[in-house]
Amino acid sequence: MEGLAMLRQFIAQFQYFWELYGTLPYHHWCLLGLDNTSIEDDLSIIETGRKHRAFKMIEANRSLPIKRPRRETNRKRKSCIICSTKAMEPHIWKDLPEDLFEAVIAKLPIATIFRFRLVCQKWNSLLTSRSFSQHFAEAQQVLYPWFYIIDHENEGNNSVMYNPSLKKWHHPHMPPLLQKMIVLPVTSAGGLICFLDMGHRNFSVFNPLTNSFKSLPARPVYVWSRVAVGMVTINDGYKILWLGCNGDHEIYDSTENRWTHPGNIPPTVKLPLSLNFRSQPVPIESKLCFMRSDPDGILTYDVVSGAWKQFVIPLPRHLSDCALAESGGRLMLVGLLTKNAASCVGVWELQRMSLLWKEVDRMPNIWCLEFYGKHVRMSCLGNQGRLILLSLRSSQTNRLVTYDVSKKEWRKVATGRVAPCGARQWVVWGTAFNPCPAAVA
Amino acid sequence: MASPSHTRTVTLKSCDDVEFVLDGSVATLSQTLVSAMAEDSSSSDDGTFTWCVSNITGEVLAKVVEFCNKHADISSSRGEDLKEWDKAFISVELDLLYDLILAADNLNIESLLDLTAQRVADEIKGKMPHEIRMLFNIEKDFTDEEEREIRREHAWAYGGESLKSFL
Repeated sequence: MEGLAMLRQFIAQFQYFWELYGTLPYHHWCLLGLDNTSIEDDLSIIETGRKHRAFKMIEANRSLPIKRPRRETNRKRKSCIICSTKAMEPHIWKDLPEDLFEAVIAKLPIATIFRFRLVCQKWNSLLTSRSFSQHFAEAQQVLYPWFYIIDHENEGNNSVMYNPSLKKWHHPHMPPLLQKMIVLPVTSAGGLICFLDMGHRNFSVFNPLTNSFKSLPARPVYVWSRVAVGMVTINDGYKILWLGCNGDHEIYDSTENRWTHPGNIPPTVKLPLSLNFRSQPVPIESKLCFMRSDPDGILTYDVVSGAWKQFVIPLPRHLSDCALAESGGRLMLVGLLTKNAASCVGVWELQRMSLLWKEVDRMPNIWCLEFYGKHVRMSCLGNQGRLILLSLRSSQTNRLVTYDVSKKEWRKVATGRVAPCGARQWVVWGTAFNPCPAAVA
Repeated sequence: MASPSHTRTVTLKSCDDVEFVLDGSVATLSQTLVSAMAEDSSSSDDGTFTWCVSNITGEVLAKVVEFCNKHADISSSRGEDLKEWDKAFISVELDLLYDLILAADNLNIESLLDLTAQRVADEIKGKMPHEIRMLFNIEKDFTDEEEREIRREHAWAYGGESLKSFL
């Protein structure tokens, strides 16, 4: 019986990677004890990795023409600290009323706020206070979301967080329970990230800033088919919804800490649902929007009223990989346009009256040239908030690209040593989240 | 009773007896003035209101009034322009910054409090916790063990790296 379950899990994982990436990464074979790859294959993978790194270095030098030696940068930084220490006189600032600290601390970069917990007990406990959360929410609301990214290189979950405002990468700790299984960040809401294991059974919720963690009650039955997962915050808690292709679905309510089955999908919605699992569901107001095909369109679930609705919206032509995105209440579509040998990323916005996708932007032509004639896959690593994060992979290159929806601005993300770019086969999963120190799982 | 809506002018008097005359609409940026005007029953019927700010000097109050005049003038206060203006406005000596943040708190002017708090945050963000303690005269009330524990809990916050440092 156990053997059968294991076999099933293996098949599920295989299908997963096959569908997602069209290939199975080398290390997963190792993980499953089925290391049958030939030495030649292995060498060619390493070779690709080398080329990739060499290319990256050239690119990095090119994109940052003003290159300053590290020592000089450090010296500059040090002298800055010295002059500011001199400038802020303790005999004046020591009298700053304590109630002003909250307003000041809320304006600090988030990582600094966490570092300043070491100042004293009061500053340490500030993060969990209600009034501080208020200040913090107001101070941070204009900023970009962060991104939580996982790859499964070296047989484990390697996670990094990216703060696009400061262009910094951070290494979060993962709770021990999550380290035991292979998990994917499937969605997020209110600063909490929802993870799902490869068996599509165990859900967990995690705040990577504070390590607040909760393992949700497991779904009652083993269902090996994949599910799309959406999440919203409601009052003082959150709700998580999973949806399978046959229309099965359940909702988890954090205040009740249980899954419920809210009723059936109305007959107006065509079953089975060909859900696009590469596109994480996004919330628009109280509705969760799922992307489906056959017919192409959107399926929405209103978490307040419990109503399902289907909207048939034809997809733009020549679109291969695509995903929904939400930005400031607007429903967007990002997708890879492939025609003949050329590939380009396009962005569309849903016209609510006509129910059509209207093209609003395209990736700069010069960037598309890099992918000319290559087989490119696009995956969306963050589709909520002002910034969309995309991964564009071809056999030799991996690109992380952000798109600012309101400014219509494209940027390449410099990954440095800390990002998950050492992977031979760079398979990454990610979700956008709003960093929130007060969010409790 | 003088309500903010029909008070035409407000006279602010600093602790060193410098007077500033503000338009009633400008004064509404200060929640302290708004509630003072609402509570004040003795104010004259000609729509003027006088308020003594006993702990703010004329020099500081002049800056506060300059800020309020700019921010109340809707025609000139638009997005990016105002941001640039704010940036120039807040590039002051740190001693004056201290007085400004206190004045913003005292008069309860939210936008000025935001701006001054941001500047203070920018000034202290590069400091170490022990420097912060020295600056604000805060006593360290952690044991070494507690300190290690907090560090361990949020190890991610200590590793933030940008690509620039690798080049």
